Amino acid sequence: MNRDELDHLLRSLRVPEATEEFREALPGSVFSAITRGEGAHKTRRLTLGFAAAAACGLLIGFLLWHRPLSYERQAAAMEDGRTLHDLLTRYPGRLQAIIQDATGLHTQVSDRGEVSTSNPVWLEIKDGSDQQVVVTFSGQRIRCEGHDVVVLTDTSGDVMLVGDGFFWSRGATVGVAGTVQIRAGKISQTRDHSPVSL
Amino acid sequence: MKTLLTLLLSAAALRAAPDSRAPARVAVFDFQAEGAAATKLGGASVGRSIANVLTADLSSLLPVTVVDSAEVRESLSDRKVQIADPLEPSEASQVGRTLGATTLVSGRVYMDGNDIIIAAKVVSATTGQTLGAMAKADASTTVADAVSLLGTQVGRIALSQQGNPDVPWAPAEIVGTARGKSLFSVGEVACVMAVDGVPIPDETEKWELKRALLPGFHDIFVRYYDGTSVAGENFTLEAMPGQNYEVSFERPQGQKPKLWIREQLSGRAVTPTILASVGEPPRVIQGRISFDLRGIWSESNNPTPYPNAMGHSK
Repeated sequence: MNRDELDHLLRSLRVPEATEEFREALPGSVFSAITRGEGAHKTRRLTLGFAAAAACGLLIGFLLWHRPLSYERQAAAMEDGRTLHDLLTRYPGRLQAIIQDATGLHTQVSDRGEVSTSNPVWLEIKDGSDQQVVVTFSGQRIRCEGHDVVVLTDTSGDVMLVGDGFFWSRGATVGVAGTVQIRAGKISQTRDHSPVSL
Repeated sequence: MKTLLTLLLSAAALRAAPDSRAPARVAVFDFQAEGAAATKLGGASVGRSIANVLTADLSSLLPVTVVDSAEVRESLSDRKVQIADPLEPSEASQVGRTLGATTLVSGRVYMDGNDIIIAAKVVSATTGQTLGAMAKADASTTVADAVSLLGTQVGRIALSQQGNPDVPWAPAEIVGTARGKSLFSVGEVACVMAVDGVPIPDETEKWELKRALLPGFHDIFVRYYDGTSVAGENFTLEAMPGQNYEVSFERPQGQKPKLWIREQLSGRAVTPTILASVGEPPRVIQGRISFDLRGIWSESNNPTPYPNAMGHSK
């Protein structure tokens, strides 16, 4: 069949006539098709909404989870000496104490570069919700619960805090409020320190 | 020839090598006393008294030597070295040079209920290294023993800061003596009745029981008994680590008993001989904190010269 013959055949064919039933059912089927489309759109929007809410929830959860973990990581770095190692490099012979509290990380630095950095110790001082972690050296003075106290370690590494009307050691306390909890220990100076971001 | 040369060079090298072990010479500054501690222990001078006793105790702990307490006070009358004031290495070095001391000790006395806490700060005048020591006097430990325990800790720190090996300072022992004792006779007994104000129960029956004494100065109350008469006398004994002591007596016919304490091994008297009065049964002043190391504890008297206390020419 060539092109002219096909053209002739198509022109000779007639468009099928729509039946009466089809004509009556047509508006209903069009309406139902439109309604079906709107429902699908609504479901899609709902799904997207749920996904966004879940993402927000996850983000908030992550942030909430991440915040205390970072504090604890920092406290752990204080306790195992990594923070001390880094700050000693920054302030050689001048670093007296590192204090981490609710407002962040602070350093106490001497004007003169002759602080004895032997016998480093860490302290955790809790009073209710207030908490601070201190890293310092035996012989240095820090502020503890409103008292100026000198931190001392004995030959076995046990820590004591000595001040005016204030004494704390593992075995005895004088002038320390009942709500105050203190933990302390020496920091090993032989540990291989990996850097910590401050 | 080569061997001889090597030996000679080695000997020369040994002689030239700096000696990392230097003698430890400790200067003890007056301790501070919290209000309650001062009241309980006998006034504002308690800090000075504790420093005196600690200095005396340290003088027993050879090879540690001490700077005389009076010299410490005279040399630094314009300056206070206190436990709560950090001492920078250069300051420690300067104070150490002034006193001829390698180690500087300051401290504070606290009351914890009925217990007494004595805390000390030990600073190396050579390196500035600062360490602490603490002892507690309570129902089972007298103040004299607490100071003695503090002294051994301070002595150990002082030695280690100077690069010396640890010394195991063992307690001393003291025992009584008896003569003519049998099943039918009490004989004569001289025994320890109390140490640092703490009475020993059944002391006459248990005269041969050895009592441990921590190194340092102790108040020893001695009792003499011959079945009819009794006498007692107080001695200040410097208990040297690991030494054995015994209470000795002599009573010539019709005379008062002479009492003294001597070293068991050598027989050398380590206290003066005292002619004891016979009559009233001796009474020990009760209480664990009221010991009186005459001439050391009391503020009014000058401290007795310690065997290892050396003057320092300024």
